[in-house]
Amino acid sequence: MNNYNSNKLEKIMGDRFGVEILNSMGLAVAVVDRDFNIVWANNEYHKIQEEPERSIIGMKCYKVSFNSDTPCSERICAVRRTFKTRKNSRGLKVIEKAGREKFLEVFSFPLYSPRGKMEYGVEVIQDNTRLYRLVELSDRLTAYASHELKTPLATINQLTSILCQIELPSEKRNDLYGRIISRSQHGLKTVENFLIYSRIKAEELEIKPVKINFYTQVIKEVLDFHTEYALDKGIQFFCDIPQNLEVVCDSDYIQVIYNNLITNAIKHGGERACIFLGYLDRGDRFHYFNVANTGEIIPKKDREIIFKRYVSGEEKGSGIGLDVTRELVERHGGKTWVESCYISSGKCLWEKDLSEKAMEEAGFQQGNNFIFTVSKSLVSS
Amino acid sequence: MSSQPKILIIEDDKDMVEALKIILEGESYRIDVAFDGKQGLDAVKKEKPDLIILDLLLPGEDGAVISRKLKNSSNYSNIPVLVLSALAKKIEDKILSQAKEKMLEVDEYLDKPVSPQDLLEKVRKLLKTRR
Repeated sequence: MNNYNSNKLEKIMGDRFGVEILNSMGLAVAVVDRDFNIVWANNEYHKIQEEPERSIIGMKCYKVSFNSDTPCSERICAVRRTFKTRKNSRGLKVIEKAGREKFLEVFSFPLYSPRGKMEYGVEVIQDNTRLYRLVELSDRLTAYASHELKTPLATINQLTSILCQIELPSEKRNDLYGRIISRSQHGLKTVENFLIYSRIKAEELEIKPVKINFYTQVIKEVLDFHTEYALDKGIQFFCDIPQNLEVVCDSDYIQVIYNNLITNAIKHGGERACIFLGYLDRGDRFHYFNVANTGEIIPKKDREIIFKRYVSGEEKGSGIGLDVTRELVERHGGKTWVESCYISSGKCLWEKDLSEKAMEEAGFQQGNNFIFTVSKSLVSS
Repeated sequence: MSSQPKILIIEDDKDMVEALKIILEGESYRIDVAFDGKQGLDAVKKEKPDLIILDLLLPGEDGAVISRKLKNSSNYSNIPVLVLSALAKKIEDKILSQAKEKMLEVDEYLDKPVSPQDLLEKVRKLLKTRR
């Protein structure tokens, strides 16, 4: 229901029917006089301008939209063009509100008083910000996918062409075959992530939880996949997940979670890092799993945003792996986050507020601890 | 001390490094390897190479920054730089025009994956220029 005086608008338009049409469009509408004063605006217009509490009636439209003291040029302002040409006009407007850009499509048309004079312009705004962001995200995702897939394919192609063109001893040939297999498996995992991501965005992802032996059906599989590649970098894995642990979950998607977290750990752990896979039962409604690594420590200010990089689109060159991880964990009724920890061979201490000095003296290194939980309330499908 | 030219490869992809080493060592070039820009610059200071093969997308500082640092240095500006990149072909003209504007300081570039013949041809050409 419009709070901003429909009677006044009816007086301006001389036409109640026209007022009803404007109110029922569901779009942001404002009426502006020849001096660019806003003489009427509906609720939606106030919302788009982020002014739900105060009335903008009587304010200059360029002040409201751009916080400017000078009128906009004809190039930018559809209403101004309407005043000049006495015709409908259309344009795009980008305004900044609460630190974020809004992408607005603007339609303007002349409004004649009952005396037949064109005294006002009507500005109708459609907020296309979400659409713009989706297109931008789609473009970035396409560019990212192209590069993420081209890199392993280029390397596979490179290794294969060498095998075809250069005589090599059998030991070297076997080494290259192994590298080709490893890179193609990683490429397939990348594609898998994109497929999952697209299903998440299309709201088509369903998990099928089943009671499984967690160590055999998840941990062993992921360790088998990653160990050889990690050995090449001198990385060591440690695991203290109980071998008899039973969990109700979708093992395929939990493997994807581990693949993403381990890939991340290998990337940031660097040469000779320690990667620790652990489990805690705190006696509450959740299973707690962690993947911890020594190496490059994630700053506190980045710990929240790294799971949302592709959602927020704020970081350049970020992957979708952690975004997919977050979504899959939430489908299992859990949460994921990262905090610091201390790691020594075979041990990972989760507790916060440990003395850094004491830990280092005891031979522990500081690390990143990626934790995710799975609800104990999931029911086998 | 060997008289064969020394080539420094700055590339974070170990499999690609292995592939390049096989091609280049087959022609008896001496090879040194660095896996990021910082390691690469340290390697250059330790023993000046005759040629640098540089990937554009590196962890930390990217290849373009590394190349610019080398070209702006009085000691190392005469080392030829061959860029290898998965991006190169897509922005071919842009790289050349940027090189002319000294925005991206490279002597030659090749698109990944490289054919052994193309790589060896570019390397020979750049080493001749260097001498």
